[in-house]
Amino acid sequence: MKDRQVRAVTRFAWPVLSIVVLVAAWQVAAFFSDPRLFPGPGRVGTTLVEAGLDGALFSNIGITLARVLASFILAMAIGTAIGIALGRILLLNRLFDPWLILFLNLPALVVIVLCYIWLGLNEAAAITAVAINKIPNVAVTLREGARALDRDLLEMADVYGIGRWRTLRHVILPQLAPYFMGAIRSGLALVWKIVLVVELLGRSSGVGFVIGAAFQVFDVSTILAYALAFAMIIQMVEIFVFQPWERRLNQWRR
Amino acid sequence: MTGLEIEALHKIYPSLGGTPLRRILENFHLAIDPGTFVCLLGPSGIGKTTLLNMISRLDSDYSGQIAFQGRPNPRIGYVFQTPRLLPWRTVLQNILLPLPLTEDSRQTALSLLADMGMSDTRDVYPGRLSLGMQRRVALARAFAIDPDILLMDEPFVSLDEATADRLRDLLMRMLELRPATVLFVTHDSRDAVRLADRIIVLSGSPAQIVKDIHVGLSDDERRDESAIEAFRGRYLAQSQ
Repeated sequence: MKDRQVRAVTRFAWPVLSIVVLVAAWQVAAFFSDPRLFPGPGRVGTTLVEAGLDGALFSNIGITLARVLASFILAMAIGTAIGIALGRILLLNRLFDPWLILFLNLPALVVIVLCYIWLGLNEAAAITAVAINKIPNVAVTLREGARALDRDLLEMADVYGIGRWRTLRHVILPQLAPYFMGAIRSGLALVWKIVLVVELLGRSSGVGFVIGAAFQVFDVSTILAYALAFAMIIQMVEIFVFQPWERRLNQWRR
Repeated sequence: MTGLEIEALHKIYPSLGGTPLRRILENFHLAIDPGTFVCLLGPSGIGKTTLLNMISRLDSDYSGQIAFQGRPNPRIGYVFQTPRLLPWRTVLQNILLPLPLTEDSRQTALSLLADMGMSDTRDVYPGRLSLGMQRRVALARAFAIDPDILLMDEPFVSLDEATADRLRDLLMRMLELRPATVLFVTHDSRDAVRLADRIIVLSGSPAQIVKDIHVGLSDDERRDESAIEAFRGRYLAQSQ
């Protein structure tokens, strides 16, 4: 029991210490700078609280999160399906591999601008643009997973005639889980960064829009406040959603 | 229980990446009576596993046919050379995998585990078990579907002699409770003499049946090392 408490304390002590050092360094740097161009933690904190009380912080972050979630789910679903198909069917892979490389290297900005031009300045265009940016990454990662599927286990499933659905659920998906987690991890970081750009270019709400507006008047404090708040929320998702989920998926490992 | 008749006219492995074309079976004929324990004995790489894969329908790339008597679509349990358990599912979940999702299945699986003396491992992940225990789970999974035909591919290799012995006894006990036609592949003639009613000795390429031996030993003789050695000396001398 005591052991566990000690371990829990050390688990939280290091990140806390690390953040304290960062804030301290920030304070020192801000002390030597023009407060308008590089405000210290105190001023950014005040801006954060003001935006929070005003409600703008939560509504904008909420809208951005909704966009992140929608494009993320879309990209994961389509990317996974494409990845598994390419990993399992050689002919498809030969045919579409060059496409994948093309899309993988297409600049995010090009996709965003084209989506707005072709689909109009609307929500569907914004979410499609983000998803298209993310799909090739998911597909490439899941393709590796689908290629590495254990043939012995697939044969076993075949001999015992357990059917397609059970094979998918008990034999294939657990083997893809690490690749899926990898795609989710790198995916979330990529998606929220692109969502901000999409908002900056063609939406009138969300964190990206606020940062764009703050840029017009050189309001660095607001830019930092929103960036910090959003990064913190993504960190929370990582700690309270993904890490427990991953632990559950990995409990069979020795 | 189900008998079977194998009529393999041609089974080849085409040449791949520099390896020559291999003719595995040609005009191969073998009939097995229901309820017989048959050992396929022969050196590694001769095509014994291929034969099991053909019977289990994993491999249908051959000319000829395999006919089952009694049931056209018999339930086939396959114990592979490696346990092939799902490492991310517990022992019980692994045994339940080929069964329908009912309370009956659960009872079947639990009583199998009890019969095999493994009740305490039901919620353990296979990675935490020894190889011998994993092999038992694979055996339990094969028996769980109440097989008409049980295919076993060197299921006792890479075990120490004591563990292999316990597994042999376990297999015989399980077969008394749940009879099935057994095809047991091995390169160890001691295994064959201890377990089989009938030993088919394979040799050559393509593989031919060079001996077909009826083993009439009693249970006591099968436990007696010298009786086994005597039998091997008499019938299987040149083949080893």
